[in-house]
Amino acid sequence: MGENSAGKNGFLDKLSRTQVAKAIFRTGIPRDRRQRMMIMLNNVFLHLHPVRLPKHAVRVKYTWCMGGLSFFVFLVLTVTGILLMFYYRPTVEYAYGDIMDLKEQVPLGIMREIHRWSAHLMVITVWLHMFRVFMTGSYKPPREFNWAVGVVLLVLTMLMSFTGYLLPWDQLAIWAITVGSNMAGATPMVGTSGPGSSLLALGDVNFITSSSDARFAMIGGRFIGEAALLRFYVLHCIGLPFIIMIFMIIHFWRIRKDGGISGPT
Amino acid sequence: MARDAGKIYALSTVCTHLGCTPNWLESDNKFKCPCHGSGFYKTGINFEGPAPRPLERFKITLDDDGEIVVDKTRKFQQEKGEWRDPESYITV
Repeated sequence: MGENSAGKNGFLDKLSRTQVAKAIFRTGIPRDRRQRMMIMLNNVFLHLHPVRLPKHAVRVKYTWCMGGLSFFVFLVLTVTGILLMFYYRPTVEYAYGDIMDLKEQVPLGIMREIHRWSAHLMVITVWLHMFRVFMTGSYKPPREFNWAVGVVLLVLTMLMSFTGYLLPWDQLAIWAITVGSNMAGATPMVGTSGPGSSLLALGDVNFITSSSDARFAMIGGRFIGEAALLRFYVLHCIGLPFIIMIFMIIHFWRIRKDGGISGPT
Repeated sequence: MARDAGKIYALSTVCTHLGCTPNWLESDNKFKCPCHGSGFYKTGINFEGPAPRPLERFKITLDDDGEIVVDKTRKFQQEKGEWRDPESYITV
């Protein structure tokens, strides 16, 4: 039945020969290996996957599918995050109340919980992916550069978590970011309480002060307030996702260019 | 504001570990930081948790009307011996 309905005179076949279908899909209904390959090559979404996979690539016991899951969770976070942006306002006046409303009043406010849990999950899957890659030796040449890209992605994932943590604007958020930003203040050279901060000076004019150091740049002030909330919001919703996507493109592209997914030797 | 051994002084409640706000716990007779558990005696001296040094004290004076004036722009650090400075406390 399945074969026949896709046969020469079936509805799908007629549909695939219309100009609209041909303009969009180029390759008709695939009937042989070459056409199946062409479909993968001619579709922007499908071409993210290789045309052929080695058998071990779909063995969950070997890959744990953690890279794929990380990407999937990232997509979930993108979708739920965009939905949350319609509601949440990053100001001292509204932020906490909006989160409370999402929790208790807003229809589909569960998006916030999905976003939160997915964020936790992404950190876990990214670590497990890294662990798997390490344990299978997949970081070795020719994949050593992609390992480095992966480390950047790990750091960016952490920064996404960190910036997102402030947005609920509750006590936990404010004090966690107080602690985190105070650590930035201890950065060597560019943090006021860090080693070597007094070296960057011209005569007795010190360039690194509590209102011109790494901590200040991070939170836009000397204390966690309106400026920090806005800064973290913009970084969380626009800045970091933009950078993380660039690195993800490189990461996925390099998998293919470095000889496909690694396998057991 | 604390009073101990005939002296009144103003402690800065910014934890010397990473900047959270230690709370005064009456039952335990100590300041306790909620973030990582640093503990400080009533004097501001650290005795438990990760805090590397005592709480700072502010400049404190009595004005002509007998009111206590705290100047939060001047800080006194115990480890620099600044708590001996007469501007860091008032005697009663």
